[in-house]
This record gives sequence, C-alpha cells and structure tokens, in this order.
Amino acid sequence: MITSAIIFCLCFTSFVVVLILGGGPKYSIIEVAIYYALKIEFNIDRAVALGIIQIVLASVLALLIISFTKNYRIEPYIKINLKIPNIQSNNYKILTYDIFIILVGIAVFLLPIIALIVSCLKVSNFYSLIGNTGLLNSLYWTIILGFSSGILSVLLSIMLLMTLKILILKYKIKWLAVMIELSGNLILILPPILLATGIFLSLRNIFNIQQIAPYVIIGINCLTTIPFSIRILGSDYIRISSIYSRLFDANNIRGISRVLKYEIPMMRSSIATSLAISITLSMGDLGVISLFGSTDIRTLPLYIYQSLGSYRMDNAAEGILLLLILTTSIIFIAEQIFGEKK
Amino acid sequence: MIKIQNISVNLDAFKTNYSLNVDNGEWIGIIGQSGSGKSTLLNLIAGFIYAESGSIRINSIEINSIHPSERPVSCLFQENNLFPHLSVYENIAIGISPSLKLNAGEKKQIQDTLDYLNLSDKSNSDIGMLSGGERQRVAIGRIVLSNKNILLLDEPFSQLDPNLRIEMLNLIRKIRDEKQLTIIMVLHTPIEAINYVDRFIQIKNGRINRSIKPTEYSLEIS
Repeated sequence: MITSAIIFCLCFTSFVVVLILGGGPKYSIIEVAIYYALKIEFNIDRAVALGIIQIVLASVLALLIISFTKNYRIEPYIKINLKIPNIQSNNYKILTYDIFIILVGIAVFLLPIIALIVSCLKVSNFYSLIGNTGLLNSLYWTIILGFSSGILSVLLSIMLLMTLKILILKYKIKWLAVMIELSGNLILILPPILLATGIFLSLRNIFNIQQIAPYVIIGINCLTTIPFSIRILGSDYIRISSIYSRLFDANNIRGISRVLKYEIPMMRSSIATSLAISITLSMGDLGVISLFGSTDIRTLPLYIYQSLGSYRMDNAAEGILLLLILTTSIIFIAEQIFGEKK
Repeated sequence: MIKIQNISVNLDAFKTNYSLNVDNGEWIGIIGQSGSGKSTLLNLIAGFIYAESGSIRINSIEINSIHPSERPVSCLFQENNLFPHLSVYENIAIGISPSLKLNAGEKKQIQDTLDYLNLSDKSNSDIGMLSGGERQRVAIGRIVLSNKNILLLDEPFSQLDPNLRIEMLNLIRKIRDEKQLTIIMVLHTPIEAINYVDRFIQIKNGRINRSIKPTEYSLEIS
C-alpha cells in the first residue's frame, strides 16, 4: 500500500515532465503555474494562492494515505516468496508471449536511450566541450550540488532509521515509528517546487537569494531523495539490527562503535545503491534549480532546458551526453566498487 | 549454581513458568517439541528477553535485571554467530574487545585460541569462505576468549552433517573439561548427545515437564 502511495505521489508531483512537455496553459499543473507566476510573471500573490491550493490538495492526499496505511507495519525483514511457474515443455505459447512482453519492455526502455546517444554523438564535438565554459560550469555545479544532497540524504536517512529502530525494537512504539517514517515521505506529497517557493518567499527579504541558493537547493534535493534512501536502506538496516541484536547485546557492542564498525560496514551495498540513486536524482533535478538557478549557478538539466528553449540543439545534446555519462558512471562505480562482494 | 524460580514471560501461545536448578559444571540437554519454549529459556538466562516475574540467580546473585554482556554467560546460536564483514581473527577478537582495539597480550590470546582450534591458517579469511563447521569453530573461539563460565547452546550444530556434529560435541566437551563450564544446550537430535549430557530436561508449553537421565532416555527411545 505504502509503495503504491509513493508511486501515486510521484505522478502527483510531476513538475519536470509537464514543464518540458506540457502543452501550454490549458494542460498545465499547479506546480508549473506556480513556477510561471514566480519566475516569468513575478506575480507573488498568484504564486501564494496557487501554493495554498496545492497544500490543501496535498493535505487531503496525506490524510487519505495515513488512513489507508493505518495497519502498516515495518517488518523486521522482508521475505520474498517467488513462485517460479512450472513451464511445461508444450507451453510454448505462454513462453513466446512472455518473451514478447519482455522484449517490448526492453525496447520501450532502451530505444529512446539509444536514439538519444546516437543523436548526441552526431551533434557533439568533444573538442567543443572543453571550450564551452557554460557547459563546464553546469557540470561543476551538477557534481557539487548532486554529491552534497546525495550524501546528506543518506546520512539523514540513516539517522532517521536509527530512531525508527530504537522506537520499534527497544521501546516497541510502532505507531510513532510509522508516523516518523511517513514524515520522511511527506516531501512526496508536498512538492519540492512548493517547498522551494515557500523558502524563496520567506528568505528573499532577509538574504540575497543568489548567495544562499546552493544551500537551499542542496537542502530541498536532500529532502526529495530521503523517501528513496529510506526505502533502500530501511529493510537492510532493520534486518541487520534484528538478526544480530543478540550478538550485539551479548558482546556489549553498542554506541557509535556499533554504528561505525558493524552496522554501516554490513550495509555497505545498500548504502552504495542509496547514495548512487540519491546523487543521480539530485543531479537530474530541474524543479528547484529552475527557481533558484541563475547564469552563475546552473546545473546540466537547467542548461539543457535553457538550450532547448533557445533552440541551441548542439548545446542541449552535449549537456544530455555529459549528464548521461555522469549518472551512468556513478551507478556503475557504486555497483562495482562499493556493491555486494561477490 | 544456576537457580531459576518461576520465571515467566508471555509468549503468543502460552505464558511460561520455568523452575530449574543447574549445578556448577553440569551439562544439561533441553529437549521438547518445536515452539515449546526451549529457546525462550535460554534467552531468559542470557538476558535477551527479560522475565516478567520470578528470579534467576547465578551463584546466589540475582541477574534478572543485568545487561546480557554483564552476565557470566556466553551463547552460541544456530546461525548468525559471526559478523560477515569481519575476518576470522576479528570475529574471535570480539570476545575480549568489541571495539577491536587490542593490546599485545590480547593479540597473543587470540593467536593461542586460533592455534587451539586449528584455525591459524584461516586467520585472515572472510567468513563467507568458511565451511559450516569452521564457522562454528570461530564462534566457539570467541566464547573461549570471553572467559565466561556458563555456556548456552541453541541448536548450534543442527545444520552440520552428523559426523561434524559429533566432532563439535567432542570439542565442546574438551573445552568444558578444561574450563569447568556449565552448559545448557537446546538439542535438535537428542540421541547424539546421550554420551555428553548429564541429564535431559523436557520442556512442554513453557514449563519443565521432567528431568531424565541419559540412560533412561536411551531406554525410552529404544
């Protein structure tokens, strides 16, 4: 149930897709309308009014999710029972059908990526990449902001999970643990663009927004990726705490030594996955950066979006290629170097 | 001497009530059906669960509210006795220093234990590279080092093949004789322990049903 709620929330807050592919005001969503009100029209009253509508909608959604997840339990560890169908030798029809569905799935996923790479390679010139300061500056900020938010997100998720573990295993207060876990998922209901708008409006009269922009972007992107980090790290952390609890207790392994020398090394693989996903998600963000970004602070997604908007297709292609190489490398390094030992 | 008096804890199916006396140096085999409360008794003695009422005294000292690590008790379980990210050496070292900060004397003790258990050549091996028997020997190494005089065994050898199980029981007997250990052992195949235990305790629905001498038990099953 909680997983379907997360998927629904992701669709509910699909700012980037609508911003890039939306068909004008007629097919817009509230988040994009907020963005236009702030960034294009600079109509703060309209942005505030739209923000309130989104908050009301989000609250209704939050209440619905909480009511549906009343009996939600965090299991000590997840058991997956996969029933492998017994494929009879004469059941070729089903087998062919399955293979067809799998191939279609792969094609839907892979073909656009292949097309993208081919078109990028056609228009991109590697020598021009070196001389393109705008692109290199975007690459620099993508790495800085992506890594900072990703690392912060994983650290905060581990701290949140430690709190959950103590509440569940030690104090047996499951309802509070569920509420804390749901609070980590609140960002899925409260869209990052809305949060960014709130911060933008609150701080614009106190600070120079451009000066604090990197910190705000890191903070919001970190919050955005926490639900994913918790999902990836959660079951592993609770499983380790649960199955080794007697060994920890019997040998007086506790405190910071337990966390640093035992729990974190045993979670090495899930931490690597979580870190890779958090960093790449933060790197790919276009919501918050579109509000707080400028010509000085611009990530690759914003660079690509602006290049597309001004019909500089070569620049956009270079940006896409660079972003693709960057995110793929991060996932590959995480899997190969920090992943599960074979 | 271990003196257990009316210790109770609520389980899903029933409420336990154990009373039992175990002499110093005695080896007790716990038998009973699955879910009868055998492991719960060990968990109560070890301190992994706390009794709701009753008392557990070891050499006249009440231990019911003492943390597991401060009890004179070491444990060996069926699985998850070792940390998979640590080497053989480090897993044994936990017995004297959980922080793994070791002085020269402690390093010497660990090396002696590795030699004693014929694990010297595996000292730096990953746990994942060891066989089932070797893994349990590493866990026994940690117990030997921890220097506690009560040993609780919760079906630790049930996943090993029969010959290896006997080999392990012989090793436990050797350690028990050298260190004067008191042993309480939950058994998966009681017949194999007839030549090792001083008596069997049968548990049924969270209560000690009866105490049987190994000779009586072998007569019963024959």
